[in-house]
Amino acid sequence: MLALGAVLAGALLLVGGRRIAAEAGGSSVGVVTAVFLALTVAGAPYTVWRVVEDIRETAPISAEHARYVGAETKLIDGELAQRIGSPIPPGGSYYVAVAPSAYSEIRESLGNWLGYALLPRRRVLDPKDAEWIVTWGATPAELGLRAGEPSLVGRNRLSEREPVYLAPAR
Amino acid sequence: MTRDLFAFALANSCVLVAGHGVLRLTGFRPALRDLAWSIGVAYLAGAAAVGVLGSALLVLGLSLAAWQLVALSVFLAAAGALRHPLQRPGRPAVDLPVRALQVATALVLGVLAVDLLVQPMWTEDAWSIWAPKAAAIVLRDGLDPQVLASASLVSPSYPLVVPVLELIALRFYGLPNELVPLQLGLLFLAFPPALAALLRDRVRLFVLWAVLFAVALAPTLQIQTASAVADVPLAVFFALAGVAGWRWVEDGEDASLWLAAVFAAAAVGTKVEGAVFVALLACALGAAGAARGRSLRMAAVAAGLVLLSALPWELWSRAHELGNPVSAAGGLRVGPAGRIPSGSASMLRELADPTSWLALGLLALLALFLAGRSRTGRTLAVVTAFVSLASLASLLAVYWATPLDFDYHVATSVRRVITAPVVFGAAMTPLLLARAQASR
Repeated sequence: MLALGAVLAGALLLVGGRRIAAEAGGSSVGVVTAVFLALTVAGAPYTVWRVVEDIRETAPISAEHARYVGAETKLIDGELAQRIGSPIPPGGSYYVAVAPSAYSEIRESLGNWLGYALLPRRRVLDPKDAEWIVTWGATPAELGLRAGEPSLVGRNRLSEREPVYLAPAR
Repeated sequence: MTRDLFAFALANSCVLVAGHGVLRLTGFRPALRDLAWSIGVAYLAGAAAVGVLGSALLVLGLSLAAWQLVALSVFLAAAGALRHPLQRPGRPAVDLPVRALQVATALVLGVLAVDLLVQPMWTEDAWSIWAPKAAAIVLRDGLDPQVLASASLVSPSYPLVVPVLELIALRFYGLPNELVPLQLGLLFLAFPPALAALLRDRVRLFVLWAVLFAVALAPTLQIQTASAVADVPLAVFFALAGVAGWRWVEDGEDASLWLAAVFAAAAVGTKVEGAVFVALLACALGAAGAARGRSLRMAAVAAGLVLLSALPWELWSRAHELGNPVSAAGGLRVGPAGRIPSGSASMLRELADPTSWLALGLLALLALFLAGRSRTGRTLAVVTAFVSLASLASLLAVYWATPLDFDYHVATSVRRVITAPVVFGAAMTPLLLARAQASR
């Protein structure tokens, strides 16, 4: 693509360089504009190809699946994350903890994804303020959290099939 | 999808109608037969006004339901219809080479529009900062301090213009919705025609459209637009405020000053750094305007209105103690001096990267040089250089004083945050080249 762009740019300068410079008003501004346009044309095939490739990649994604792509970029099973919210009422609060053995992407981004996916439920940063405890990759007890009996929500299909639990806070 | 696209057209027609009202309110008279002039700039003026007024209405307790957004658009259109007299924008003839550049730009933007149509929301900033705020407003039917102050949102104190614009998508075609990237991306798709509208009677059309073609092609702008984050909207509003403001400096047109104020208010309401950029722009334009005998009283009123537009959200977010990662980490404080060269080097690398900007940065530098050595372009060159460099310096100051991990902060943000100063410089480039030529 870059080679094609270079050929197009060279042809543009050879065939239309003078005309372009004249269109741009001649003098140094004309020369600068002609060179600038040639450089832009040189990059155009690659830039457009990149966008077309992106379309080819994203067009087959269904509307349903598109909702979870953000989670998937962080190795989080978006459908599983959505299911966590079912028992928590709107406005209810929850605390999120991730096992230290989980991938760093999950550890860093799970809280942010759940913050979005579980709205209008409220994520809190202190387990003492939470009505519910969400744990990823371990039970609340294994992570040192006081909670009621945890129920298994499911397993993360996008990494190590680690278990995900939801428990009422105590 | 068909139903969504119909709702999408309806929602954005409202923004367009509002924008026509805003143009008339500022003093411009867009004509139907001049649709190409009006469609880009009217859409962005409408988005700016709906974003800024929508933020204030949310603070006042409204929920910005679809009917309220329609009512706001009708109100702006009706208010504009009452304004007289109006100035008809200039309309120079277009020859074949310019038409070819216009078609090429439209084709590039068309391909990007298809990309946005099928683009999922995948970047963490999009789904942790901007989209949750819009979703929270829909789900709680207005601003709910309990939800906004919770840890569900990253940076809840950030301003509301982008969430309000996303809200247009959610209110008209439901939640969750896959058209949010296209909705936000319309701001970038409308930018080249809007800039053309503001500059076409001031510069050589061929130079103007060569720059707009490059703006449409710039990979970093395309990628950021598809990312549904706020940096491109900020860049669009800031650049248009700069260009409209410079029209006021050159000709003293009140219409341009008010239009600049509308876009500046939107820039302030889009991102925190927008307020700093706009303050720098106002200082530079005020000084240049004073030197040319422009009414500084009018400029002060416009600046006051911009400031006023930011107050409702600022007061509300402070009253409810909304924060962001920087404030949560203790706020900005003097950092090690070694961060300055390191941060500068990262910025320079990004600015010079042709895989991000093609040759836009190079052209802006040459245009500054050519205009700076000409008699008629010196002031414009100084204003452009000051605003761009001071804006970049303000970003560097944030990196210097960041309480976050310096390397992480720079690595995850420098490519995005330089966008507004660069797009501002690119937008001023046709003017700089025109002034360089005028002094020959």
